[in-house]
Amino acid sequence: MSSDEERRKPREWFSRKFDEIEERFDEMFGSVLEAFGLERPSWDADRQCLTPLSEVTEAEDKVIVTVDLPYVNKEDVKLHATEDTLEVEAKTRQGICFDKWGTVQRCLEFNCFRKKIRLPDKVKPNEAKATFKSGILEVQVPKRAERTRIQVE
Amino acid sequence: MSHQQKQPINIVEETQAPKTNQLVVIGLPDTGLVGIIAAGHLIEFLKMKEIGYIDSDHFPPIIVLHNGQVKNPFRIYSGDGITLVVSEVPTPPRLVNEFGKAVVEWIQQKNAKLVLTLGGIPVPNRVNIESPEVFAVGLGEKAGDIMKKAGVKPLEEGMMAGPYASILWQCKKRSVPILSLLAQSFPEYPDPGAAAAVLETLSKVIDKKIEVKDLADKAEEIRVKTRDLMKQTGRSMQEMGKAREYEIPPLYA
Repeated sequence: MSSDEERRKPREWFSRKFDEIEERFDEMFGSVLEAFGLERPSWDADRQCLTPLSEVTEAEDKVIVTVDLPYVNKEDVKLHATEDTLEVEAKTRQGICFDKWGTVQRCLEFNCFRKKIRLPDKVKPNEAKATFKSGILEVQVPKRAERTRIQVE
Repeated sequence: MSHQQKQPINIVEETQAPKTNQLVVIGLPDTGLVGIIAAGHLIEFLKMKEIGYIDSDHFPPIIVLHNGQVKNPFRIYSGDGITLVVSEVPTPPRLVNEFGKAVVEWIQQKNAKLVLTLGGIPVPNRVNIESPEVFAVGLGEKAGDIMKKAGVKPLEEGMMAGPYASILWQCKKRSVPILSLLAQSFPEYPDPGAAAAVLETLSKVIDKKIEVKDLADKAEEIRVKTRDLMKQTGRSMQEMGKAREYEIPPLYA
């Protein structure tokens, strides 16, 4: 490994850790707001991303998540899953402008959607299947729990 | 300006609404935001004028700003033989029955020829439906005739929950003719496609073509800009037992 690469490694590690801490604060902040009955805003001015609407439903053996993504093309959807979360990020095909809104007296432009969704049960992320139709993303992920058949006497 | 006698909910006409033979159309935030999206389009298309608002000391303290003007979120518009009741916020669940009573009493005083509500009926596979179908719940002979003429299927069995259910019930109690139009729609996402379907049916009722191409062109913009209203409406619908619309009523008659 070159000396440049050696020097980059600790910096990258710290950068990742700071990102994780920022995410944790974000989540905690969100739950504090919700505890006070306040909604976290549906936009993130720093990242220029909007929070999309989503719905989570549970079937017996899988979790189904849908996300409403207007202005998005299928190839721009980035989807990541862990055993209890789903993270969606999608670039929009054009900037979305909110004109003269609040204290912003010019166009406030957003160009992506971003959302991290907690799943109600542990799932198998590598068996997830996703489809995208009419701007609606649907992800189906099988649940992790093993089932044992119980005989009724 | 005319005010109804002080009640929990008051209809205030800043300009007198036409008294007789009007069609009263109601578009409220509900399933798929179909009512409010359709009503917003109707206001623009028919160039309707704002003539009043609905007020209550029990409503949450919310105003909206449009072009720097302070407005009540519950407003009344008039134009082209139609009086339109519209709202930019969900009706507070604990006031839904009072709201239904106040609106229908006012409609009765106006001697309206028919009440028409614009709404959606939640379907789980909406994403696979290219052209949402419109169903109706009708009360009164006039409503029945219109349904036949417009080729709208009646909803035979089911349950309804929310402000439209309250309005339907009040109309039944007071024998006010009403037609509740319900387009197949997304339960939890704004649905401009369903709103367009409901307006196409309204076209047949009022015998006037309502152009919905603009609505289709602006569909994605509407979906983005109504996210917050959809979230609030979703919470409000939960409180009103909206999930019961998926149920089959247990008795036969």
